[in-house]
Amino acid sequence: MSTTKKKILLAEDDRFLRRACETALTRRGMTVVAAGDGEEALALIRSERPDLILLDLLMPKMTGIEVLRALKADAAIRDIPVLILSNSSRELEMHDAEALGVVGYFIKANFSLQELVDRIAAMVEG
Amino acid sequence: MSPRKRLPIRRTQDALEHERIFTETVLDTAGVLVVVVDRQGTIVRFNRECERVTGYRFGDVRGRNLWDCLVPPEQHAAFRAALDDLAEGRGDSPSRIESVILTKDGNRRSIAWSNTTIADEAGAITYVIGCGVDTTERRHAEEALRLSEQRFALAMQAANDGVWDRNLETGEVYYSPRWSDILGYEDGEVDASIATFERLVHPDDRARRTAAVNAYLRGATERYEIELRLRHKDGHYVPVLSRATGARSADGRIVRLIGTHVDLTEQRRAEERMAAQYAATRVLAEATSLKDMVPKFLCAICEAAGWDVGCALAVDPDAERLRGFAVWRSPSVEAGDWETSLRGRSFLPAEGLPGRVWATGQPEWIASADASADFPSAARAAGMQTVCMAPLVLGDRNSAVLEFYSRDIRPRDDAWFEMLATVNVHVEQTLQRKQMEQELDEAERKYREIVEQSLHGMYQTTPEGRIISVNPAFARTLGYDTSAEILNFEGRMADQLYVEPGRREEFRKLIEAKGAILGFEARMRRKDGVVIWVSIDARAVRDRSGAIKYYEGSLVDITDRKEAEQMKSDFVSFATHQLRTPLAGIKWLLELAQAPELPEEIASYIQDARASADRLIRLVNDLLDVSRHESGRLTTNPQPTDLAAVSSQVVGELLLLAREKNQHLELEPAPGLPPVMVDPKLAREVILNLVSNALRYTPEGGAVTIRMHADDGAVEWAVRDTGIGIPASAQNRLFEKFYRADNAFVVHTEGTGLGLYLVRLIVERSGGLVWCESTEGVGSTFRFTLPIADERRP
Repeated sequence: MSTTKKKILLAEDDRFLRRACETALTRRGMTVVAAGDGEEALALIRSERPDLILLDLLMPKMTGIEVLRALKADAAIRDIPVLILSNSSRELEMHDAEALGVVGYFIKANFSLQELVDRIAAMVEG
Repeated sequence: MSPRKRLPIRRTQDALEHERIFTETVLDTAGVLVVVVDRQGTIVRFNRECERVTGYRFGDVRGRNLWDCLVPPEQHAAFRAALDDLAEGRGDSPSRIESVILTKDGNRRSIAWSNTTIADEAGAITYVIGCGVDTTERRHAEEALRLSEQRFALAMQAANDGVWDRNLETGEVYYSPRWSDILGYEDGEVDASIATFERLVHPDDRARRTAAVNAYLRGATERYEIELRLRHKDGHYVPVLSRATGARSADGRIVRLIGTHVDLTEQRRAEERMAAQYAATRVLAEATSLKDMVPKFLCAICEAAGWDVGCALAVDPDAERLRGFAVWRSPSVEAGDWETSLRGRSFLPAEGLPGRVWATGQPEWIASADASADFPSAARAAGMQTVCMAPLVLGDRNSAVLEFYSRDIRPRDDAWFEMLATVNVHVEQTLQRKQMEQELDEAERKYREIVEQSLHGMYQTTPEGRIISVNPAFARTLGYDTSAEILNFEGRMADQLYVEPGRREEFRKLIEAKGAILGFEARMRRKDGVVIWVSIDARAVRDRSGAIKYYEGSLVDITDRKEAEQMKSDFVSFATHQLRTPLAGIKWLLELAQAPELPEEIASYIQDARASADRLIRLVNDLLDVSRHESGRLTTNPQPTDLAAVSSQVVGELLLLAREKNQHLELEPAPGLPPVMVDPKLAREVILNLVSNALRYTPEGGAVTIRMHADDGAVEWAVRDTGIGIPASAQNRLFEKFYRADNAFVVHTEGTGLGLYLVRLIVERSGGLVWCESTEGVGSTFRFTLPIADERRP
């Protein structure tokens, strides 16, 4: 585990998922900045400059795709890697997200927390 | 020279001598044979003609007995008897006898003898004088004549010609017995005068005959040859061919006509029968309907065979009556009440002549109206002389009676009935054919109606996609006004109607693999550009060799249903998301709750709750997949895919699971396996599903083997297990949605009932087939095929 804690931005409107995910990442030694909607997420990305963004798609105020579009339009933050964590497997959204540039698209229900955190750790540390 | 001036005695001697010389000279000069024998038959005189004819010299035979040298042995007795008769004065004198003599060199000559006797003064016969004429040559000629006469007579008899010989100067005529026989007369019964003959000639033929005779006598024609009708003793006319040659007098005039009559009756009848049969058969062949066939049929037969009126009576089976049905009348017969009444007649079985023919099935022929009381009286009154009736048998029944009337007397002709029997067969065949045609027309009409009125679009296309025929509903569905508008399409239907022409190719592959296809869904572009969803049922129609001739099937607009499905699909997507989110929450929070320090019991509850959540998530995922495959909205990315590589990857993923159950999971190598055309993600899903199932339903320690090989344009992939097997009753339903075999629950209760359904959706969508073979308690083999990727069309 590295000495400088990696900062993860978690954009998730479902509080149970947010709590579970935050706990697992924190236990793994990462710093988690959590947001409950799209607007909050975008603001925190700009202010916190996380190492990785975990982005849900269906969120209040701004959808994940809108956040992603704004992020990619902002030179200051466009290079922060984004991992989509969604429960939607609609092709259209997957296609849009991949077109805008993401490092992955995970269906939350199909991952155990263990697998998820292993993958995230690999991304930020590897 | 005057011997007479000698002495009287001398003169007497001289006179005798002279007389002897004179007699001998006469005997020797006359061209007749003269032989004189005595009472015993000893030759005393033998003249020169005898010497010439027999070859003997007088000296050779003098003093010899006649039969020692001249009479052949077989005539000895007859000769002696004849000699005795003469000697005793019996019989005529001179007597005449024909006999044969033997010549010196052994030949035989015929001699006609005239014999006389010389008696002495007491009246006793002393000599017999035979005068003979050699008739051998004449006898030969007579024999030849006799033979040639015989042959001539035989030839005449064989040719059945009547011979006549008319003396133009006297008007006398000779008729041979056969000549009379042709006309029904005894030999000699016909008065041998030309005037009588001329009365026998049919009135219509008389002028023609006179002209022909005159032309021949004038030398205007080389031959006399004419067909005539001669009145038979019975009253009917006999057709004859009359031929003659003239015999000329010394001054070159024709004085006699010698000729023959050939009876043409049978020839004419045969011609008429043939013509009638031909005409009838033609009418039958050309008949379009039964109604107009019958009058034409009657007309054809009557005209060909010279009947004046023809009538058909048909059996009315309901009333058990025979009724007039159709009548034909020669234009030369005046229309009258009788002819009209023919149609209106009706007979009970055995009633009247037609009723009798109907009842007995036996034809009737009355040649002369006056000769039979059975002759229909109305026909007699109308001038008819002959009637013939024959039954028409259809099926096993006498179904009709044909009647033919003639104003001429026509002798019975049994061959005519035979001809009608032949025609009867044609009639029956025609009626059967008509009935079949009618039934076919009716069936055709019905089907056409169904096709024309159907709300489903119906069509036939070539495998290449050229439209052969469509019904109005097909045109309407695709926004065209008429079927013709679609038939006028240039080129392939696929390019014009299918929104994704690739779907047409998928359709073609499916139908060729399976022979038929149900519910194939595709998007088509209407004439107005609007895209609609259609569902297509189709089958391949093959020729005898098994080659596909065309596809035929139906098409229905399912756009409404697809929209509903889309809503459902959208709903499923939404619901899926909404379900997955709390499920993921449960799953993750349970995972967090599973701390090492927990009591074992609590830990096991949490473990089970996690498994439950996972199963629920799987079910939701499967439902989503099914929904997406069913809606056809899933974008697939078919590409050449190595099934062995995909299988190897899946085996890697499942190896751990297999080891846990101590199962042997093996992938048999398949070197040189060609790639198949499929979306690799979907291929993985199929293989994962099938192999997981195999492991799941195979007990611990069992074996699961995967093998694959290329076969006939496809790769066949198979996974065999040593599992519990699938009941035969379930094997067919295995690939249905939500279906689970009864015994599945014994082993594994966590299946969703959607896995194999998804497998089928994917395989069929990719142009393959999936099926299973299984024996309960032994194991199962699941197989699927996928088409080999065509390298030329990546």
